Amino acid sequence: MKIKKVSLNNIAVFEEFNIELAKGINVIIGSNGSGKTIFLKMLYHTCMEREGKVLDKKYVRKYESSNSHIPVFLVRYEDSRKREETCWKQENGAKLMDVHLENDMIYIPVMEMLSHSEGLVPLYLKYKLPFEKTQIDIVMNAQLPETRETTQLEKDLLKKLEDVIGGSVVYKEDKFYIQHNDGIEVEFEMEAEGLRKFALLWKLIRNGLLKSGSVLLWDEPEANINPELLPVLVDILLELEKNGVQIVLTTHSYNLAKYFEIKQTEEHDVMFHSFFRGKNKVEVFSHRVFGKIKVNKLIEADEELLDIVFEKGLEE
Amino acid sequence: MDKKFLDENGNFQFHFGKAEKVFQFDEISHCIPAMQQNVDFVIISNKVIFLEFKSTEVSNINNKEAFEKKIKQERQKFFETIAKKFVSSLFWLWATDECDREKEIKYYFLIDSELIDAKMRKKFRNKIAKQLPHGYENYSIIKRPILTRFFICDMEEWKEYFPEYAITRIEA
Repeated sequence: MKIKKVSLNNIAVFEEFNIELAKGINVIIGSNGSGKTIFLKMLYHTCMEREGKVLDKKYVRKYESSNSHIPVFLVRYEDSRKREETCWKQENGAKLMDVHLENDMIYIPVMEMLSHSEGLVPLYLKYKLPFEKTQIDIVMNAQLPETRETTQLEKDLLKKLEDVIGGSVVYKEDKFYIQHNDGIEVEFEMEAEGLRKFALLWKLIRNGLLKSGSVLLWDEPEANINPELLPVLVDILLELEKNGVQIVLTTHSYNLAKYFEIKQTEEHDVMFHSFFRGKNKVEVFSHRVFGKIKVNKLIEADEELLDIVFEKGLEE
Repeated sequence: MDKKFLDENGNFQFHFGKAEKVFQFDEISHCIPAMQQNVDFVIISNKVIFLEFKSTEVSNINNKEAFEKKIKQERQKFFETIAKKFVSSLFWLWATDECDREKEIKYYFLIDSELIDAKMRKKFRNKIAKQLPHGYENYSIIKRPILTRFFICDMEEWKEYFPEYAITRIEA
């Protein structure tokens, strides 16, 4: 499955918003409050929820006037037979059509969840806990059993990840561990958070959840990751993309975005999108070249600092 | 001014018709030592603009790879070269008496490359600027202005700064 176009009307910060996604990797940038995370969550919920599910009121955009504004979320996607289908989502249960997911859609939230996994899912299913569905789903996905066989690509990616985390991931007695190469098992919460992200990726691949036709949504993958590991992460994601995984991620990291730009080859399909507040509404500017994006907050922030350094240097 | 100005590879045309004079160091190449490098153009109007131009967005892949190699592997030397080109060019301009001492002098390095974004241009600027004359205004022994400002820009920024000096790509 490849998501081609997404439209949001009257949802959260989005009054009227349209974006066309690349079939490969989509890197979304934008300042806080520009709707990046809401966009990812809405995409996930719309694709994962069954027909008839009512949109949670917290996502409905609020207006000063009392005139009703119907929230609409539209996804246009292409399945493996190249058919294009559309899914609408409206308030009051009018989700008109399910999204026919042929493979998995995985959402990785900013907050690392596997270290909280013990007992979490049964508690969530029974009680109202202050966790979002995306946070529970990623735990459930990681808890799934491993596939019987792995492809050569999966083996290669798992090896790269094992080199980073220093071992592999084990799930037992409702807890996650990293089993290091010397055989010692360390509980997840004792490992550095950045390494836990690589470990999560290892588990998702080992569970067969990131294969051709899958969609990966990842909110700020760079959070807590050592900057020198960003190129490794980008290599892995580019490899996944080359093998049919569509990726949509948000980032506040110039380095992460730039690595995608410089490491991509003609075999990849990478697009950069900037979410920004235009005249009273959130808009998007998309381009294949990161430096050509208008309203590029990642570059602008660094430009300001570099100008200060420049002026100071001239004074000294 | 009817003269056509082209870059060294013949890929771009520079429309400097509205300038009072345009100086290219090829004109005095017989005077300049072989190893010395200079900027591509000096555009003289109410100010004096030194312009060094580099483009990787051309069909000549060798040029692109050579430039990328300089940036990656010989970066410090590259920065020094860009700075030295200004100093050398200024010297020869003074020697030919083309440089009116009352006019402001600005140095523009125009990089036409998709990969060299605005942040990278500013980083390069900060590195190169340290090797250019600056801060001399504080010293009374220096009697004439040397360099007012150094900029690194792309094609769009150049168009904003100097709409009267268009640079166009020559279609193959």
